[in-house]
Amino acid sequence: MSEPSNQHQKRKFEGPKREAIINLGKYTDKHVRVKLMGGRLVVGVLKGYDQLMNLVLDETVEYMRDEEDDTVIKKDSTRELGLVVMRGTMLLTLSPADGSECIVNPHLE
Amino acid sequence: MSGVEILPLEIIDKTVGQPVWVMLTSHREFAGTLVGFDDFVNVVLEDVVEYDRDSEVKRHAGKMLLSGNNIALLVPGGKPDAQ
Amino acid sequence: MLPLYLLTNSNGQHMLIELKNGDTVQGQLTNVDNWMNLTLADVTHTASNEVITLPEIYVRGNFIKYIKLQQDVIEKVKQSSAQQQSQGHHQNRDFRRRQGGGGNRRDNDRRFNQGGNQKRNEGRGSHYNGGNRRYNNQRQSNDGNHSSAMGGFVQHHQTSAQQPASLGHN
Repeated sequence: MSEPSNQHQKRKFEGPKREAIINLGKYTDKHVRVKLMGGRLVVGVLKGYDQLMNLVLDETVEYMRDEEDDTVIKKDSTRELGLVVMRGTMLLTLSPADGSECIVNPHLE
Repeated sequence: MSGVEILPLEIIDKTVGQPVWVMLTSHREFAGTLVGFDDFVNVVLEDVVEYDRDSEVKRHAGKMLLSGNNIALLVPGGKPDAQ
Repeated sequence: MLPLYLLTNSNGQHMLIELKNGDTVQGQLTNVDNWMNLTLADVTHTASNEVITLPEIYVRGNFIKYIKLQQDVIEKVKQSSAQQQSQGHHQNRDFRRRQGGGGNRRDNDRRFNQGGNQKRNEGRGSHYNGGNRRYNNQRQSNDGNHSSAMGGFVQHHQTSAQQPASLGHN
């Protein structure tokens, strides 16, 4: 048995959770902005999802990246994809597309 | 709210037999007919056109097993203006 | 203190996350899971050429390069856990049970049960059988909201006695 104080300490703190920490139900039928591994940025209406965070997006728009530098998104360059399935394994960030505000980068002039 | 949700894997299931456009994490894309897939979304395609950033690289006749490891997006219906 | 424990107990704290692609995300932590996936609120997300504010964001754990925490984070965590303790470990027990039992799982995770377990039972064909999938046939672990002790989740807090019992009899 490990020291009583260690066990005692472990009980004090909550352990990490093993269930979904985000409820995608609240984003259903809303626009979401999703970053994918490899640098793709995609915005679409969330229509469905599963526990592995595979997503079904409708009216999906992909924002194209700069040819030279993959990390730079060309804001005016998009292509429409319609209804897509997005793999949860490739999902990097997810955020609502409504309610987001773009701040002009003060460093760019 | 009803409990009926749209499951991503069901959409893929419905696409079996239809044209599909598969996009990898890189700029590579594959457009072909979806023959089948598995739990990991490894995908079998038929008569595939391989693209790199919208320009056609190669045509593959017959069946192809595409590893799910790098698949980012699947678009039922295939690539517009394909083939 | 293990990193994941530290994070899990710093809900509400402000932090800066740098991602592997160089983007930064600043905000208040709202949730953490076993894989260090995070949800944050009141977020500022800075990419190479733009800055964007968001009410919420979900960040995948394995895409995080590092997290900058507040200087006094350890103090705050100890304080908040001391508060929890004073409210009684009675509460903690309920919390753990809820994690393992049916309550929370039922809502969102119904699909997970079907997707993961049921498909494997049917065997892996290349053609996915969508037939039964929609309805939750798997009631076995969801039935007892309470009685299935831990349900396999978060066994850290249990004494080690439980685990060997299940491992030993295979």
